[in-house]
Amino acid sequence: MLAILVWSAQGTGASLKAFAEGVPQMLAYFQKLSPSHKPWPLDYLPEIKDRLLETVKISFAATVIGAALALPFVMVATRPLAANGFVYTLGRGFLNLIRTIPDLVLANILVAGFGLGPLPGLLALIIFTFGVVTKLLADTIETVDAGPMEAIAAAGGTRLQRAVFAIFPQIAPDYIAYSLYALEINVRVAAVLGLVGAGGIGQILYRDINFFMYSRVGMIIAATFVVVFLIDSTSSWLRSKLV
Amino acid sequence: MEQPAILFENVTKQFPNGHVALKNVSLSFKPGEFVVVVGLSGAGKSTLIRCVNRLVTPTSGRVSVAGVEMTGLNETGLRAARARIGMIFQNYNLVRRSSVLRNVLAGRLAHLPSWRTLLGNFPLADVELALRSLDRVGIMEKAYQRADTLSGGQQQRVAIARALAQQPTVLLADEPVASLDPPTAHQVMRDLKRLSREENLTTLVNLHFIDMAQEYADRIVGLRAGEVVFDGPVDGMSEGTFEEIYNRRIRPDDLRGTADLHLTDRAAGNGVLTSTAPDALENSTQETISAAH
Repeated sequence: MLAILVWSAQGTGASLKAFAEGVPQMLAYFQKLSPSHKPWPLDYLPEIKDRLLETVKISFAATVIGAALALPFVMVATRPLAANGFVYTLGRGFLNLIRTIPDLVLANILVAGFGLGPLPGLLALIIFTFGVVTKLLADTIETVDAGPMEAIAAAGGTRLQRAVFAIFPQIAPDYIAYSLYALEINVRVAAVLGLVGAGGIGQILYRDINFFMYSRVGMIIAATFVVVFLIDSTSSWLRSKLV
Repeated sequence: MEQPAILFENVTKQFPNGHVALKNVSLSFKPGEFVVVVGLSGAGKSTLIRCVNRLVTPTSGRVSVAGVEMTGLNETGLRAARARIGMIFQNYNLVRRSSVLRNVLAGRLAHLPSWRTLLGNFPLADVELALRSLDRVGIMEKAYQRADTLSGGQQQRVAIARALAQQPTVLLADEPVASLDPPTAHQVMRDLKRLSREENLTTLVNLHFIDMAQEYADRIVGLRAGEVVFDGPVDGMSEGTFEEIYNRRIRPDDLRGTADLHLTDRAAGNGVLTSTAPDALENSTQETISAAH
């Protein structure tokens, strides 16, 4: 363990000395961002509001669409529901493949294809949500009580009827919880998607950082923090009610 | 000659791990027969019953239900055949989070167009049939409750109602009372026997308890290590016959006990059937119990 720590610390150039020097610099940077350094330009608020709203819309839409796509896909990505072993292997393989692509890389590729703007961001998050929710859901389905499914099969039910009548009622609370979990991640990721030109608050954040507009950056960060915090805590609270 | 309701012809089942669960089993069951299959756990009772609706597919041999060869059916044919074969399980196999009614309606899935059931759009006639089925096992008032709010005995009766809603010709029950206390177990067995009589249902019940087997069966099939070692009417059975099937002395845990049946009947408000347990059996099992100590 210690050897790994030393090795990775060397690899990243991390040291106590660098840390000691870095912290004061960071504090100085925060100082520049704060309104005490220079009053925040309040006329900038409408643009922040619009862009944040865009970020929130991207994450909500991506969560709903991605989670909706995840549900039918469990028919090929779970052992109890897949038609046969081949379909299952193929389904799982596809799932693992899309989950290995980091979301920012995905957004970058999509920006190359669809151009700048919120559309590639939305698509990237849909794919990400689909991957996460399907994976978690598939794992849950494979541990769920198989008895009801056997009963439906014995009564002559089809695979789809087995899923809808025996499996889905059992996993409904988990499905909602996983979708909310994906939403929490999506809001954060959507906030930085603008770094690759994929729309939202990140896009003006990136621009203002490049132009050293500290007060504006401070405002954006504060506003983003409030919005992310509100969505995150509401979602966590809802999830705790489910379990 | 009358067509058998269920016919096993030289059925053998070997599982992928090499275990042979059934060895060359040939059996024929008449319509309306109430058959109890006894044997130790691992003797092949469960496999035998699951070969009827092909939840287990035999390695060789043929199984036919009402003249239809189950072993030769494709997906669609198998579903159509299963539509008329009801099954009851040890752990009830209900969807715990769904309502009782929705659980019973699952018995209609193979009788209706798939898209209709998936939309949850059941015809009124089917909903009525489901409610009637619940009524026949005495729990219609529970229809809109969640299944997991019911007691074990009530849940097993929901499972029976689900099987009834299939309007079956054959009823399979795999250890239906193993998870129930003695009074409830007897009630469930009486329900099964009564419905079998009323509907002329060919019924195959797996049981471990020899006293219950003797009390309810018309005919008993004994399995040992995948082979039929006894097959005959219940009248000819003695303690010795069971010891032969089990290949050991009868032990107290081979008996379910009779409990106070009159009391439970009245409590459930359906004092129709009363215990018919022969005193002779009581005495002889008592002897064996004391002998085992």
